Amino acid sequence: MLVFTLFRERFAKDLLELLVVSILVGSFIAGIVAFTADTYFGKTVTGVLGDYGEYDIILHVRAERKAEALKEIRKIAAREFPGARVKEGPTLVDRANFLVGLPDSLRRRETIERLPRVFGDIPGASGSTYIIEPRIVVSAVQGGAFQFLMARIQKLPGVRFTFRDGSSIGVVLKSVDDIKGTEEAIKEMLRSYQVVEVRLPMGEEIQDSMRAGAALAKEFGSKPEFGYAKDITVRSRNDDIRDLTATLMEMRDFLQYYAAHVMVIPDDIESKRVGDIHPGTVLVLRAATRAAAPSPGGSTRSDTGVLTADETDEVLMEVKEVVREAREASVVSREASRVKDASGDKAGNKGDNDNKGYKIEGIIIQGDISQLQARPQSGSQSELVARGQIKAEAYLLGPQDTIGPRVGVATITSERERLAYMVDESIRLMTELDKFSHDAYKTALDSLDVLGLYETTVGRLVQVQRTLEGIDDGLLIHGNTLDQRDIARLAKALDDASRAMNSFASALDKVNFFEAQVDRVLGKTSDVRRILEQEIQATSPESSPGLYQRLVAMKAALDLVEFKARERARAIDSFLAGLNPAAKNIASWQGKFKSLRNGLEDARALVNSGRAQAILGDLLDVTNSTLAQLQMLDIDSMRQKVGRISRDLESLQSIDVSSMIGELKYIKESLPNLRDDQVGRSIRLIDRYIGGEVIPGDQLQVMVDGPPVTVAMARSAARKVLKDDNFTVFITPVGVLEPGIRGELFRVMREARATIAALMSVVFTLLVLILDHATLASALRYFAGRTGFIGFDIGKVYGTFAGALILTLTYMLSGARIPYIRPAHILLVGALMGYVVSWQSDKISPVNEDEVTAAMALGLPYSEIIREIIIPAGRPGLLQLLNRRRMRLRASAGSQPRTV
Amino acid sequence: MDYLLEIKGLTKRFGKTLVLDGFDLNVARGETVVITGPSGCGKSTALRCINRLTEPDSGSITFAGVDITRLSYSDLLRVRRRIGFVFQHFNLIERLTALQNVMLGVIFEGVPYPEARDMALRALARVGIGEMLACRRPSELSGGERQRVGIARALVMDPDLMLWDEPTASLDPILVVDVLDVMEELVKTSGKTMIIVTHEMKFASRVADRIVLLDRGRVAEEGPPGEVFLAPKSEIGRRYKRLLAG
Repeated sequence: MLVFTLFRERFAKDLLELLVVSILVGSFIAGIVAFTADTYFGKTVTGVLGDYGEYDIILHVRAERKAEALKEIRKIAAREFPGARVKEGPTLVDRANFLVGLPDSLRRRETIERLPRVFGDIPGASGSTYIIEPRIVVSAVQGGAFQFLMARIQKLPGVRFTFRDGSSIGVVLKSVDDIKGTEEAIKEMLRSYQVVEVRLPMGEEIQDSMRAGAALAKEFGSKPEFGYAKDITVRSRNDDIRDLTATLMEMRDFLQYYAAHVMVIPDDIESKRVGDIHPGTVLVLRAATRAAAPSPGGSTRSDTGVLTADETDEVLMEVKEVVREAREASVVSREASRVKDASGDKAGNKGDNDNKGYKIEGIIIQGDISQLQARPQSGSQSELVARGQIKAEAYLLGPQDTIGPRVGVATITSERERLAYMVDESIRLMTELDKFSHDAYKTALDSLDVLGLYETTVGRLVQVQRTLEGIDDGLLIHGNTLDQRDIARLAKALDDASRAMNSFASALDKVNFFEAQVDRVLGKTSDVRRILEQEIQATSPESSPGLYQRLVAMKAALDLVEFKARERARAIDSFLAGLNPAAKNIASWQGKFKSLRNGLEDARALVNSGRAQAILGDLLDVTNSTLAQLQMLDIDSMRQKVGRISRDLESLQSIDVSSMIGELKYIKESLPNLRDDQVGRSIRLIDRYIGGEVIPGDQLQVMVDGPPVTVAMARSAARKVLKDDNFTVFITPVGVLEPGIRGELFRVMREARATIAALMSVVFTLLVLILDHATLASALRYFAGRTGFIGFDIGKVYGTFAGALILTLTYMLSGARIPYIRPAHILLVGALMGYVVSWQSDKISPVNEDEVTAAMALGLPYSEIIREIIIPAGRPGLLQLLNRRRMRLRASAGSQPRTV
Repeated sequence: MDYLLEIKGLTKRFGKTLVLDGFDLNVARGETVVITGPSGCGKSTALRCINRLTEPDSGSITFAGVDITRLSYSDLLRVRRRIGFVFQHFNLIERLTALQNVMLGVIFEGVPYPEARDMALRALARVGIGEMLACRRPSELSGGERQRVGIARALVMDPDLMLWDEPTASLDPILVVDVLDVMEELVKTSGKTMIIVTHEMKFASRVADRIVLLDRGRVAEEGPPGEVFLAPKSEIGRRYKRLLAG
């Protein structure tokens, strides 16, 4: 009734007029604001980039070096590019911008590509941006496809030249008119090529990337549907993050090398538990000879409830690998960080399978090996670890850090401890070798003394011989008797000879003693050298080059020392062997001499016994034989030999054993001074970091020309080449066509303009709803209430309709656009705004009931009441403006009434 | 008898409250009827139902032979123009001057502006508002002046029936006298049919041809002032008698 009445009163015309004007004004305002913003930005862009095609490159310079930079740019431009234009652009965000435009004759690939380099050293240089126009940019070009694409694009009609700009190809055109056609041609070209990228997981690499890349290209090339396939893998790796990751991986390897490694051999009885163990499982290690065996279910947790090495004495290991003895070789080499077995099945899925032959490997993540040394044993911890004598019992770590069932026996090995043991042994040996060289030198000097005593001994023996011969002759002349004078002469000669021989024998004993020492030291040297050799074998020259070189040098020095020691020992041995026959004779002569000397104590008895001649005869024989032996020795040669030995030993002494010991101590000190759990936790930390990095692993890229390659097709080809299934396949376009920077800027500006228009539409609609339509909604609701109209709330219906209509049409007419927002969404937003405003219209623009009642009493129709009473009393806006001409009575500024 | 207005069985509820309960009233041409009664008895509602400013729930209102309750919207508007209404709170349009307020109804009757202006000025003059005051806005006038403008606004339409809804209730006692004087003058000189709702008993007894005592939505008693106030038949009448005597 009310609506009908209003329509009959031609109020609908008023409404329609208001809506149309609102929409038009709203669209105009939104459009003009957006246009103003667009123009402003457009001018800014022109200010920054110059007019279209006027400049070729923007040089960015730190603002504080602006003046110097401009001077330098002008200088370089004049020298390198005669005729080039330089213009100062605006300074934005502490960056001054200078535009450089080359004369047309210089606009070619070589000069354009040279520009960043030529201007790269200007003061405050902060990069550059190409703005050469007309230009098309092909971005995201795969590394190995540049030359190929550039050559192809260059051949397209309308292309003046192409140049490389980072990972993009700039295509400079002959004319603006060529843009569209060339774009289409390039799009077509890009559509026909695809890049098949096969990427391995992080930490894995392709062993022979060149061969694999070629094989993959061949695999595609052999298919009839593909006309062209080329390996475009870029094999240079200079990315900082990649380097950092590589360094971390090296560091992890280094730490892993020195970490205490635990190998658990599962018990036969419990072997089925291997199925529950996988990389990451934590096992509790306890000393094998502990007095009280842990009861399953016992807690390892401290009072605080937090299980840490500081608070508990438990040693925990984290399982890194569950392996079978045999492994499968693959083209792809892997980090040992997952479950493997010969059949390729995961151990975690073994279920009831036979687990014999399994080994569980891991590292200590809490506690230290020292905690597993249950009772005092002979030898140091390092020695025990080196000999694999530290054993422990391994248990599963149950829920709430309780000790679970036993898994097996663990053997702990530690390269760090082994190396420490080797170094300790080497230091001890070096000390002994040092002493040995001193002893050997002294022995050589003693040998010279022996040779000196040899002459004395020979001289004394000759004297004894002569004395004996004289006495023997006297006995023949004077009968079988000795006079006292002969006896005294003989006794003196014998005493002299005896002293000389005693000295000689004593000197020989010293040399003999040294010989025994040599054998002991050389035996020790062999032991150390063996350990050293093992250490060198175990040390990777790639992962620890410094340590490896030191160990090799150490062994070489040890070899030299041992060789020289053996040589000298052999020389002394040979020297002693030469002396030995004479020495034996001397011993024999000494026995006989002793017997004769005893006989001479009773000279008379000797003289009268008739045995004197026989004794003298024996003594003379021994003396002669000894003399003959001694005189057979080539004493000069032996002296020369001993002289050489002593000189060599002197040079051996010059070997700087103390510095070698210092070097060994350095090796020992350079070993990571970390507890086992610290090493383990560091490895986990690095693993987590590396695991979290989104850094591609090794990859192969093949460019293919032909129909779209499916992932299945690519996987099949890659599987054939890599003989592995652990890779990811991506199929990407060889490049992406995108507008130039200017086009991009204008596109962004268009978006900004559309967004501003959209925002303005919303703001304007809200204003119109509040200022104008709230008044109408309020009036409609009032009249509906007075006339007893029931059913829907006509005011809200009107408001919702008005909001939806105004916003939608304003939005569309003003050219507004918000990314991802559709007109339907705008319609809903407008309706919602209208509904809310009309819902609150009684508060926004209340109807003056007294005035309206008076007007009704005067017989004014609804439409006139709205025009004459409600709208003028409402909020100023479009409605009031439009209504003014319809009012019969207008209030004048003064009190003079005026009517239309 | 030739009644200008015949009301039969008028009822009106506001929610659960029954305000008019079979209200009957006949008013002859030229008659001045004063309706009085205690507050909330339905006096103003009855008055507003007459020109359907308030829609009655049931009953009939016959004005000049036409049942107002059955009129179409356009006919209703025409009838309203023949019924002047003076409000308790003046109900002037604030944005318009006193003159414009008075002209408003005439203008929408299609009367040309100059004529409408003259008519308005005459009406204003009749209630004692000169041209100078006529050019003022309601906010620039006193209460009594505003109510006189309101009377002029009703009067200018030359209505067949004038309804007065407690015209002095919002005025202070001094101004009340002024307005009552204007009203009395109009009653005596205009010859128009009037229904006045008021509590001014002395004024009522002076000007009324008939007093209607309303109680709880029904006519409790009616008759000439002397009859109703001096020899009331109803309880409410007796109370009014005591009031007047006091």
